[in-house]
Amino acid sequence: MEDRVTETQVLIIGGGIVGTAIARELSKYKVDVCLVEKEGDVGSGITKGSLGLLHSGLGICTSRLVKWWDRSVDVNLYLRQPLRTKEKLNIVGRQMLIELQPFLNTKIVKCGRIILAQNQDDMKVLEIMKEVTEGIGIKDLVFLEKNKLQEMEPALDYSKFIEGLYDPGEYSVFPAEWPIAFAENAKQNGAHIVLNTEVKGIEERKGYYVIKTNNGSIKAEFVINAAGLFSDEIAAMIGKVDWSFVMWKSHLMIIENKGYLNHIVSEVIVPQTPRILVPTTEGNLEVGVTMEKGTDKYDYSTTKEMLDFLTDYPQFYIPSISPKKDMIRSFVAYMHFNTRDPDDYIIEWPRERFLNLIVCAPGIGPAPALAQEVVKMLASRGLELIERSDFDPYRHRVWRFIELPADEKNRKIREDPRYGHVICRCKTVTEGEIVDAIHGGASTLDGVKFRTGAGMGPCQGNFCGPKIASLLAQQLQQPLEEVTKKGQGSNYICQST
Amino acid sequence: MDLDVAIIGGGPAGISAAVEISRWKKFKVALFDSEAELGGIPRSSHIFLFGLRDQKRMYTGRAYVRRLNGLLRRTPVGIHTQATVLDIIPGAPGEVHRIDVLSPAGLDSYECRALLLATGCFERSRFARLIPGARPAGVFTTGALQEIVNLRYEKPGQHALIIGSEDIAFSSVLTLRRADTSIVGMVEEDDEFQTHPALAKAMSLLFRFPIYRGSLVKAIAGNRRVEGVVLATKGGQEIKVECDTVVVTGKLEPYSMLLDNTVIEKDSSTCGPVVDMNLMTSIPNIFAAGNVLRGADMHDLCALEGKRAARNIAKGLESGETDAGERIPIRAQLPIRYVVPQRIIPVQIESHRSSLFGPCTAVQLAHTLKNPVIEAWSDDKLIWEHSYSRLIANTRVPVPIHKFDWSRVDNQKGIILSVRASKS
Repeated sequence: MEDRVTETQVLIIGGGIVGTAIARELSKYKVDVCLVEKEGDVGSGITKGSLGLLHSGLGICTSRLVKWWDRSVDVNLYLRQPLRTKEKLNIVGRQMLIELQPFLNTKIVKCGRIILAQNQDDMKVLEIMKEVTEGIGIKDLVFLEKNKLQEMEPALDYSKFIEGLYDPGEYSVFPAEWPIAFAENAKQNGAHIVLNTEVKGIEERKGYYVIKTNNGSIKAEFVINAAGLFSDEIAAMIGKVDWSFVMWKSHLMIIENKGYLNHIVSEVIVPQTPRILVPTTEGNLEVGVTMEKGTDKYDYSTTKEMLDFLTDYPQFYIPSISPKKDMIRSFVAYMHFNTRDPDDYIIEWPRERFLNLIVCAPGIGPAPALAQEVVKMLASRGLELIERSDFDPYRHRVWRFIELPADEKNRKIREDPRYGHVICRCKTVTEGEIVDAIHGGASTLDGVKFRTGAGMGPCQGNFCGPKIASLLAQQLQQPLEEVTKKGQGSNYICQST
Repeated sequence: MDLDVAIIGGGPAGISAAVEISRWKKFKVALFDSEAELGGIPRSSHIFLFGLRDQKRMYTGRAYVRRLNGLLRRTPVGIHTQATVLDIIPGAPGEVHRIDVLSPAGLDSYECRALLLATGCFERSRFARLIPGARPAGVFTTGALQEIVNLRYEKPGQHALIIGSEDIAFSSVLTLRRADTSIVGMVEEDDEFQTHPALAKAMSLLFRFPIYRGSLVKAIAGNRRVEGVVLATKGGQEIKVECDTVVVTGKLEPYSMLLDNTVIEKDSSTCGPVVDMNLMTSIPNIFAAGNVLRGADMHDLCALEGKRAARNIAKGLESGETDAGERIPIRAQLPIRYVVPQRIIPVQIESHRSSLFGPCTAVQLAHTLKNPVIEAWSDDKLIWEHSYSRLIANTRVPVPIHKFDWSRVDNQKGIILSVRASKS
């Protein structure tokens, strides 16, 4: 375990996609960086629950339509708008993520997206979408007629759809693994990633800030508020805040993809219940997404009504689908928007060297571009940036054993027979990979899960859970009763009183 | 590596098959299991009811496993532990089959003339059962619970709520008590107990916990660790039961992922392979036995089934013929969840005996029914019916197919089993 950090140059509050991307970006320079995250692992907040879309043209359009409640209002009012900051960052950031992927050993499913039109009204909306995206410079969207669609997606119910708009550049990612990848690479390059540390108060002194946490105080020259859903509370610690959050509680579901879909598929968006099916990096199908007004930041409880909606609607697209039979998991995620500028980010300095990054959906695509902008902003306020000659852009290790070619598998097993011992049968994850993940930074069952896939299959960790918990206890040299699912307070077995 | 018989799965069915087929003394047999220790589910059970019908004795789960292991080690069967079969590649008719196996010794392929799939079952998670609420630590299936308590000697929690009321729910009462965890209640969605009412009532009295029948779990509460469960009771009340542990019981499904990328036919109502009365799948010389066929049946029946499959494998290998004769399809309608086997072999009908003590054609009901009548139909003709006073959910109900009126059966259209409620 690391020594406690008491002083740093740049303190990043929040280990989501934004905070961790900034940490990695800063680790390219001779800058002392410390990221504090209140949960047991990075990416535990908003990032983890993201739908996982890497937006291209269609994503930008559908994001603009997310609040098109009243269909009698002209859709042009929503679709035709000047490019927002978050959208500009997305266009640049998306390309950066694609280039980063082989360095970070993450996954991108380059599936493309189809929005299906059911009638001529839908077609009019799609035509405007195509025009708008071409205006932004995204020119590869194309209309597909029924017979072409049928070739691409044979399982759809074509009695309902007349045509579709295809965006080949819209991809699917596994949200939770990006903060993990950014943080691990940042840490490799000297950044401090401090978990289970919650910011309780911030004091401004002459030339520096004192950040009080549940694990002691940290002195910092610069502070970046990237605390996601809690960035309003952090902002309020340093000054008056003239905005608040509107939260949307979403339900999402993961089911097995038994040859149902190859692309991201949705109808023309219906606010509050966008019906979108997304092929995931694990080869499953994500069923999304319900939206209810959220009132409690800590309410992550699913409800029967929303689960019923998600299990029922997929048959509208694919008559042969059976979500209940193919069920893997369901969960709650949050989307939030600020009341000052609901359709964009707030990026501002409330104090001389304190930066507020109040982001909203989408967050994944823009993240690396935002990180680069933030570094420039820090430099403009006096942060000295000297590039490190020994920056290693490659995140160590991380491959799925089951995906390696046979001779590689045998070579790895000869090095360490634990790569031949399967722990998670559903996803065929070996003991070797799990031990690697623990050495790479996983200290919880969920941490192992998001790094290796173990526990993400149909049995949802009920078979491998006790074994993974034992491996954590063994590798971290702690008693089994101290092993947690996701950090403090979530002990896997009984905590002795 | 060339084998005569490869057995995938070293639980009661797989081990019993291996021991049985060794009696022929001429076949090269290998058994593969993912775990370091053979035995399957009984390894983690402490209850004193193992081995009744196959060993004619009563053992705890662990002693039963020792017994089976002992029998196996006296045979020349090649035992491969920590060996996970990654793929089954069925051969063309008349050709050998192949399996790819991963183990700490490396990646290997084996060719075999016959294959037995005995990979058992797994429990559906709380997500698959659409149990709403938060996703805290402290929610276990009975398998996870048993592994924690009986194999690792740890305590899962202080106070547990059990979801489900099948036999397996009551065995988790015993497992929890073994760990000194108290039981705060049991929740059953249905109005009826899904086990013998006498057992349910006795356990509830003895271990002093209420059973909420006709009640739904509205939500599991607690963001990090379970804090309680909100129930919607039969009377329409909403109550919160405090606990730090939830045990999700029942709803066992065949562990049949290996079939997914093959041409071996699967039954969508069992999620396991379709088999005939010889326990042969749709591919010649690929057989299946035990819980991979249907989810959950008693271990000793699985063992006997493994034995039967082994005998059929041996006969087939000796004669060199795989009986590819006529098969009559039989299937079931809800509330009968499934019927196994799904293909009747006409020449074996006469000699079929339905029995509680040995493998035979059998069904399971989705929920407990009072005074049901099970009917067998072929096309629009009723060919058999029988009334029962009570049929308990998820327990094996033998079906005496030899009593069907086969003269009126349409062999192409096959048979459908259904339930007619006579009185409620």
